[in-house]
Amino acid sequence: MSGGQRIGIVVGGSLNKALEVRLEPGAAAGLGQYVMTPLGDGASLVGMVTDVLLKSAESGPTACPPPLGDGHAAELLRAVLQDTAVYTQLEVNPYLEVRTSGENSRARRLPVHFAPVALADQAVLDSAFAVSDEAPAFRLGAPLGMDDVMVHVDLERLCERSAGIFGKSGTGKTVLALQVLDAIVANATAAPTNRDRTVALIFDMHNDYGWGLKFQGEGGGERRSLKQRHPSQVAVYTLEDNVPHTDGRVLIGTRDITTEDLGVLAGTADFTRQAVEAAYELENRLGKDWVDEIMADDPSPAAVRKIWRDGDEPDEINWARAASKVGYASGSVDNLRRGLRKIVRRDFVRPGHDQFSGIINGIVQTLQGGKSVVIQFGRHGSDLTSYMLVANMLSRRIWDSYRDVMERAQGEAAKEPNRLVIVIEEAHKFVDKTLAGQTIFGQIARELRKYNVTLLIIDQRPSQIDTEVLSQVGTKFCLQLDSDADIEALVGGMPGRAGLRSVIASLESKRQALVFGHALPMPVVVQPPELTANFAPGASLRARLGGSNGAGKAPTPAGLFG
Amino acid sequence: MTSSTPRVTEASVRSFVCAYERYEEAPFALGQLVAVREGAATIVGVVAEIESGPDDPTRPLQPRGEPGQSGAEVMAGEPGLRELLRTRVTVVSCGYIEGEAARAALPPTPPPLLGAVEAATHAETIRIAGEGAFLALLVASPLCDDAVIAAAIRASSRSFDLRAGEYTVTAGKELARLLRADPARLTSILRGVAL
Repeated sequence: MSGGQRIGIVVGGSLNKALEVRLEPGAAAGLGQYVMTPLGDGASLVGMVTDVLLKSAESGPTACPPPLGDGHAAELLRAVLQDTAVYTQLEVNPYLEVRTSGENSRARRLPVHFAPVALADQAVLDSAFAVSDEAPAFRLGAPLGMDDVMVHVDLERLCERSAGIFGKSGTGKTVLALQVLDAIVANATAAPTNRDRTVALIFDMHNDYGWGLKFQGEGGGERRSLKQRHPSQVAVYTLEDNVPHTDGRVLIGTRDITTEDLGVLAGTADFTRQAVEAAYELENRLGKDWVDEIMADDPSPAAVRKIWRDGDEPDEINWARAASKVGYASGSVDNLRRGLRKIVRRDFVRPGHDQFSGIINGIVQTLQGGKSVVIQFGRHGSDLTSYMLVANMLSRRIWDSYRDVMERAQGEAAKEPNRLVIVIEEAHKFVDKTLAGQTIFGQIARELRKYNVTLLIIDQRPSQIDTEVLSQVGTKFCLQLDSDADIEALVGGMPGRAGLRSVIASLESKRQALVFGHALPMPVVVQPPELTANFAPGASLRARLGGSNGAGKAPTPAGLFG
Repeated sequence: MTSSTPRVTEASVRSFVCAYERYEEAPFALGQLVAVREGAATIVGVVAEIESGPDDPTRPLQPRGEPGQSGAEVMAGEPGLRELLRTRVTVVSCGYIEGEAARAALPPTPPPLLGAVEAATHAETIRIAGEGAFLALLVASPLCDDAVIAAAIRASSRSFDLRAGEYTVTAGKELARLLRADPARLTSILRGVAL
């Protein structure tokens, strides 16, 4: 592999840290760009530029620098010292050994001193990121500085483990997520059977993934979202009444709410730990009507019989005495009642009814029938309590259903359900360090593909996510992040993480992402395709009969997306 | 007055001295590249020193001439005087050309005594000085101070015409590599180049 434009030579380095490359005069390379250098047996080592350093061969020129000004002597001094006494050095994280045979492997060798280093060319990147013609491939975008090259990700690999899209507000998380989901739905459309279809269950906080996306990018306006793009492959449910372009409404009866559903709300609905524990006890005693019973001003006769089981109820009966009877302080039950009151005040919660199972069955049948489902929160999207309650309740029950089907299948592939990707926004609220054990999402992330259910996490504070959960996120799409803690949370444990940190810190504020992890052979900084008004349905998915490996022969992003 | 051709009077592989037949008012310039094209190889060197004085050091030149007379007028008035004087030039070897090969290195043998010393042609200068490698011999020679090296770069750059600036930077970079431990000297030389 001859490589592209030569930019320098290897002058040092290590596999664990970085390769040191001295730039040749006039050559340039930026953070995130790929370079390659021969290994001597026909293989090439491919790595990513993770730092650019200004170095001095001796201390003299920097201790006594040439004078400023445009005099001949000063100009000559500066020109002479450049690339002799002072020079530019790259740090390159070595990632991949690329062979012409296509048998690539992780970098385990280093080139010799003074080996030439060139910018990686299209042929090398085609080989590095090759995705089989038979496999569905997500069009990730153009690597930094290589606008004519398109990098693809094997969609099956992307979905077989949990994935995450991280970035601060306004960096393009939603657009990127929409493109991933567009590829998932388009791929499901092409799959021959329901079982082969990977579907998504999307908890759509801000009504972005259903009918239309309020586009924040250049030109603004609205972009067609999943339901408009794939009307027969996507069902939209909403928490609101009379919303156009939807297929059903999610209603929760008070009889549907279990104590397990409340644990996740400790932060948002102000439930204390004691209140949640008291709820367990009261649910145990009062049965399915426990929420309606607790919401009454005083315990009903039925509740009295269930709480004072041995008939020793006092003359004056109130919730303080009931709390005392079940072993908790009255303050805990007051806290529980206050929190529940906030919940049942929402118009999608219906007192005294059992609404949920029909909706759950409908959604599960839709998902297992090969369609994706979007749960739109509408005006409730800004209400984190509603979002967390519904997402947790639905996911828990759908997860139970998938687990039951998987266990019944007993390893018989034909009976297993199709793969489900659950998409949650503001994920750190669900899987933070205190709640990861209480929400279903922590469990899904940990148990991975055991039950054919994975997560697509969309979040701006990865440092708040439980480390165990984060470690199970296979593929990470990292847009611009400012906080050191957030960046460290994503790259911690990665080889060459110091370099990746600086790459993330240098990302543009929009449409630039570092993508790395399970689905990719090495990290890549890409510019995802622009979401233009004429972004065609399924455009995020490479055509299966596209070319030899797709990357080289695929149209450019500009060509496809205008 | 026509210039005579100086000839080699003392020679070693590192340097040689050539002398004009008599006092020469327009000898080679400091830093100029000169060549001795006799023997197996053409030896190229840089003029490191030029001195004029009495041919017999035991008979020093006494001041003479009337007030208001220039040196040339005094010399013209006493034609025999020029025969008693001599101009000598010290040259530091900086390369040699052997057939097609030009090497910025010490010549294998010194130039022949009484060999004619002439100005190097532009082609010879470009071949020897082109990459700046000849500077290594100048930097290493005790006969070359900063002014000589700066003059050598200035003089050789004239052979590059429109690329003179580019050549100056190339030679400067070579010098920077040679003097990486002595930035003060590098600065001093480059200031001399930029004059």
